[in-house]
Amino acid sequence: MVSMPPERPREPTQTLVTNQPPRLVKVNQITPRERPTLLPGGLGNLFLPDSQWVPPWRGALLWVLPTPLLWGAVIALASGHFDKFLADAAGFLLLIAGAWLTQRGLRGDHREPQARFARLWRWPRKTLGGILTALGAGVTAHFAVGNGVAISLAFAAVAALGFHWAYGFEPLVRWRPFGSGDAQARRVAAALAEAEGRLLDLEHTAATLRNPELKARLTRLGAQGRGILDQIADRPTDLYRARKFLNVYLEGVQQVAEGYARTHQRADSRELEQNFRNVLVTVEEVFAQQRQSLLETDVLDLDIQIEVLKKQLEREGIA
Amino acid sequence: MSDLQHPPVQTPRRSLTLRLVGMTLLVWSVGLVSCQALFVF
Repeated sequence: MVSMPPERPREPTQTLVTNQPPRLVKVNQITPRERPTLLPGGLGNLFLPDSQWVPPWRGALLWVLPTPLLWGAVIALASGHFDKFLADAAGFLLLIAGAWLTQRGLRGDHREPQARFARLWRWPRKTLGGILTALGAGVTAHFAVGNGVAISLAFAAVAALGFHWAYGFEPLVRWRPFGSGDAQARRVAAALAEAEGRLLDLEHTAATLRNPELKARLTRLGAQGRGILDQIADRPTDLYRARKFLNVYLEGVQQVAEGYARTHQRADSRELEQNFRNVLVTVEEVFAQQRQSLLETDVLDLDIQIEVLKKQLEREGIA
Repeated sequence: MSDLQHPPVQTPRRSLTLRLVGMTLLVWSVGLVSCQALFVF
């Protein structure tokens, strides 16, 4: 006789989930085991997808201000002033590139999760945008308008100051050295950094999904995962209890999510979507169990410590 | 915060007045040179 699996309780917001038990899809059938192309920390983070709404006027000024240069370049070309055209076009391109980078940076401030364990290099997009804006102002003042070097530098300096007050350069990152230099702490730090890298990948993948329910689930998984990493950081001995979470589930869900995001763009399959949803439901439960088990271990350890202390006090005749 | 965590990196928030002054300076510098370039030959 075939025994029926127990039914999973429905969540109130989960309208599309059927009563079927979650079924794990095989990771290797969906996605090759490869690193994503949009690794945080590489050149790719300049081109991260925009999925979250930000106020449209943020950074809009930087797009509007160079527009006369575009007309200037067109008029210069039409009237046969090629050197003037080059100067206007160079200033325009610098300013537009600055506006683009600044807008990416402003959106990143709102949206991108920060690496707290991994030492990831991130492009300081707003700072680069500010430098290009100042450079564009200086180049335009000198080559397109014909001001002297000193006046052009003054224009560039005023633009840089205005940019700094209006949008702000990113603060220089000085990584704090880890407190302990022993091998054990370094091992824990490396494991946490690697796990965080996977969570960041997961969060970037979530940003590319169009299905709001799956996106919310994946984002929630990222938050749960970060909670577990925080717990491990507070008590590094938990690393060994959580290694299955770090090595198996986190890597698995990241690869499945990337595979789903990639495949879903090419083919819209309801079965694939349901499989992915089932996987996410399972992994959410595993993450919650993992977190609970770490908490329970903390309580158990504390109980033991209290018991030992009590015994010691009794032995010494204090209690 | 654990010893194993880096502190968060955040651009400090500025007051509205300072941001408006900054935007005015941007208009004065970038906007002015752009408009000048349109009329200078």
